[in-house]
Amino acid sequence: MSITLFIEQVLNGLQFGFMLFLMSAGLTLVFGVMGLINLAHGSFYMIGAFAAAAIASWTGSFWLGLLASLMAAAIAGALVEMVVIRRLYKRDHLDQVLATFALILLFSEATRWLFGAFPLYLDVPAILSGSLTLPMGIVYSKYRLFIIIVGILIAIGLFLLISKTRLGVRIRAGESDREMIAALGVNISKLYTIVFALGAALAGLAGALIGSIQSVEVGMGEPVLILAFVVIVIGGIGSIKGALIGALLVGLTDTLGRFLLPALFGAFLDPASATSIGSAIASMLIYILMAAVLIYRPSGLYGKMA
Amino acid sequence: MSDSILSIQNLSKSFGAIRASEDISLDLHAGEIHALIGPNGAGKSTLIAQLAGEIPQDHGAIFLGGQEISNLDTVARANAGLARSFQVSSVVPNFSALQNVMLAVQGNQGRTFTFFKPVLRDVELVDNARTYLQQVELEGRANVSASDLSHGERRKLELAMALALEPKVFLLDEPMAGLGAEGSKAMTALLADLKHKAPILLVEHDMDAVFALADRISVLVYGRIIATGTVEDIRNNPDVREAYLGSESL
Amino acid sequence: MQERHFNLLCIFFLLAIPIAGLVLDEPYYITLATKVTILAIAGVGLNLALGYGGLISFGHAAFFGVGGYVAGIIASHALNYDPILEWPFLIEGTTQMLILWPLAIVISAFFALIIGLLSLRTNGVYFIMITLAFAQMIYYFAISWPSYGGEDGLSVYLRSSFPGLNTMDGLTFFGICFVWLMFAVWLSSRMTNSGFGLALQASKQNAVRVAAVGIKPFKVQLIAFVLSGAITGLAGALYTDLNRFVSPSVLSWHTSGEIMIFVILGGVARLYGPLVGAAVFIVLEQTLGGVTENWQFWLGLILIIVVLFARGGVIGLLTKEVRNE
Repeated sequence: MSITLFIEQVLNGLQFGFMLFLMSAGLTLVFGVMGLINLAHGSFYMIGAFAAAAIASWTGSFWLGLLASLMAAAIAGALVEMVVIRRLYKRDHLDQVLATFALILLFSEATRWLFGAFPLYLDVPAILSGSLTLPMGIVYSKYRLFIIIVGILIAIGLFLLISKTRLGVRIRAGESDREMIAALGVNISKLYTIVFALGAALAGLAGALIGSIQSVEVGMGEPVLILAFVVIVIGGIGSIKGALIGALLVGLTDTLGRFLLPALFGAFLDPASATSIGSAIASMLIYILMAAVLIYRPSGLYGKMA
Repeated sequence: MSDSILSIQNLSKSFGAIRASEDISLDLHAGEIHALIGPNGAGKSTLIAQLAGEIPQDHGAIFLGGQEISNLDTVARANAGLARSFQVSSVVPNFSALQNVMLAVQGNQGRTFTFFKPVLRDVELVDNARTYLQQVELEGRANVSASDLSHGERRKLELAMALALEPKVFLLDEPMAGLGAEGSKAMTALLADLKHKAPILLVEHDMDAVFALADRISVLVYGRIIATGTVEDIRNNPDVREAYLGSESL
Repeated sequence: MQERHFNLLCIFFLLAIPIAGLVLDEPYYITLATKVTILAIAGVGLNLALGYGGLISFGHAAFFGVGGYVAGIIASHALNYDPILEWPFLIEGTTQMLILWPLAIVISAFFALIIGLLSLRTNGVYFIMITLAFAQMIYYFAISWPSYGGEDGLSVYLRSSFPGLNTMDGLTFFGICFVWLMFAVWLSSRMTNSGFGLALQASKQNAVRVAAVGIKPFKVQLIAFVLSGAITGLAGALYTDLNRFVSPSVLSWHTSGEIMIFVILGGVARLYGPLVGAAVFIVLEQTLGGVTENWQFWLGLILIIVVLFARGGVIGLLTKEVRNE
C-alpha cells in the first residue's frame, strides 16, 4: 500500500470528520444549553441540502445555494423551536425522543411532498471541481479540501463566538445556571431560539456541502444524525471541543477502518473472507469506539461528570 | 475499647490542596449518642460521605462491630449494619410511606430477589414495615405517598427506614434540619428512644437538641477534631469557644 | 373508566378482530392483529426496563433482531438440510418452535446481559446513546455479514411448527402469539408487584436511597434489562415466523424507535400500554396509509400532539387515571 494512498484516506477521514463536526456542533450546544435530545437535527441537514439544490439549480449559483441552505435551515430551526421544541425543555428525555422522532416524520413527508421522491443533484462549481496536486505528489479533490477548510473556519468561528462574544457568554452561562441568567434579565427564550437556529443552520450547511458529493434525498439526514450522536457522546455532551475531537475521531476511524481492516485481515485470511470480515468489522468500528470511550469515561471525553 | 461499636481511626481525605478530613479518630459506644458538631465547612458532610462509603478515604480505617468496613461500598456497609439518614430527606417519592419502609425491610432481610410473590400481600413484610412506622408515629400515614408527606413526616419516614435496617449504628445527618420547634421536640424524643436500639452518630446544628441528647460531643473544625468530651467539657473548652465565637475570648 | 376495565376491553378487541377477519373472510385482519400482538410483546419487554426501571433503551431493536435472526437462521438451516455445525459435533437446524423459542430467549438474554453490563455504567442520555450504539453495531454486522443474506435478509419459506397445531393457519398462529402476549403481561405484572419490582421502581426514582438500604441498584436494573431483552427477543422470533422473513431492518434504529413509541403512546409503566400503543400505531399506519400517501406526516403530527397534550399516553387519557411517573 502506498503512502500517498494512505494520506489520501486520512484527508477523506478529515473531510468526513469536519462534516460531522458541523452536524454535531448544534446538537451538542442544544443539549448542553437546553438539555434537549433532538432527533430531528438530521432534518435540518436534509432541509439545507434541498434548499441548496433548489436555489443552485434555479439561480445557477452554488454560492447562493450555500447561503440558502444556511437561511432555510435557520428559519426552519427557529420556527420549530418556537412552535414545538420550547414546550419540551422541561419534559423528560422520553418525551423529547418521541416528539422529535415525530418531527422527523413530519419534515421528511413535507419535503417529499414539496420535492417529490426523486433525488436531486447539486453540482460542484467550476472553481472547486477537479483536483489539486499537493506536496509529495498527492492528488486530491479540490471540493473535499474545500469542505475541510470550511470546517476549520467554522470551528475557529465557533470557538471565538463562545469565548469572545456576549452571545457566547450567555450560552456558557445558560449551560451552568439557567435560573441565574434569567434572573439577570437575559431574555432566555430568545437566547434558546438563537442557539437552536444556529445549530440548525450549521447542520443545513453540512447537508448542502455533502449534497454535491452524494445525492440529495429524503431520509439522508438519519444516518448522519446517528453518527452525530455518536460524536457528541464520545466528545462529552455540551462540549464544542468534545464535538470537534469526537467528529475527527469518528471520521478518521470510520474511513481508515474501511480502508485498512480488509487489508489487515488479508494478511492471514483468504481474500474473500478477509473482505467480508474486514468490512463487517469496519462498519461496526465507530460504535465499538463509542462503547469503549463510554465504558472508560461514562460521560465522554470532555463531558462533565454526572 | 471493647464496647466501641463504630470506630474511626486516623481518617484523612484531601481534595487537591484542601484537607477535608485530617487524622480524624472517633468512636461510638453501645447505647450512646455521640454528636458531631462544627461550624459550616468544617468537613462534617465529607466525613459522613466517607462513613457511608461514598468517598474513599486517603488514609485511616473504619471499623463496625470490630470488622473493618473501610473498603466496602455503600451497599455492603448498609448490609454490615450502618443505617443512615440524609441531610436532605431522601425517600422514594412516588412510593407510599409503607412501601418506602418495606423497601428497607427487604434490603435488610436480603429478600429483594423474589420475583413472583406480590409484595403487598406478603403479610409478614407488611406487618414488619408497619411496626417501624408505628415506632416513629407515622402509622396513620402509611398509605400516603411520600411526596405528599410534610417535611417533618418525611424526616420521620427516613428514621423508620433506618430502623427497618435493624442496624448496629445509626448515622444521622441533621435530622432536625428544617423542623420547627414542635417538630424538633418530637424528633428529640424519638432519638432519645432510638439510642437504646443502636448507638447514634449525630451530626446536628441544633445546639439545644445536641445538648439535650448527646452523651458525648466531638467538635470538628477545618477537618480536625479539636475536642471530644461530655456536654460540660465541650461547653467549657476554650478551643471550642474560640472556634465558634472567634478570638473574642483571647 | 377504570384502567382494569379498559384492559379487559383491549383484550376483547384484540380477540374480536381476527375473528371478524375469519367471519368476513379478510385474512389480512388476522395478519394485522398478529402483528399488533407480536409488537406488543416486544413493547411489554421494553416497558419492563423503560417504564418500570426508568432505563431508556434506544437499542431494543438489538434484542428484537437477535431473536428474529436466531429463529430465522436455525429454521433456514433445517429447511435447506444444511447443518449449522459439523465439527467438532453435528448441530442440525430445526423448525420446532419449542426449541426455537427457548434459544431465541436465551440468546437475546445473553446479548442483553453483555449490553446491560456495559451500558448500565452510564446514565441519562449516555445510556440512551450507548444502547443505540450497541444496536447499531449488530445492525451493521448483519448488513455486512454475507452468510445469511446480508442486506437482503433471509427468507424462511415455511413457518416453524408446533406439535399438534397447524401453524400455517393464520388464526392458529395468532392464537400462539396471543397466548405469549398474555403470558408476558402476566409475567410483568407479577414481576412489577413483587419485591423485585419494588426495588426496581425504587431504583428508577432514587438509586442512592436504594443503595443506602443495602440493595444494589445495578444488580436490580441489570436483571430487569436482561428479562426485558429476553421478552423482546421472543417477540422477534415470532415476528420472523409471521413474515417468514428476517432482514437487518428489524435491527435498525427505526425499530428501536417504534417499540419505544408503542410504550410511550400507550402509557409508560402501564401493563397494557404497549398493546394499546402498538394497536393505535398500526391502525393509524393502516388507515392513514389508505387515505393519503403522506400518511407519515399526519402520524408525526398526531404523535407530537400526544406528547404535548396527552401525558400518560392513550390509557392515561382514556382512563383519567393520573399518575406521577
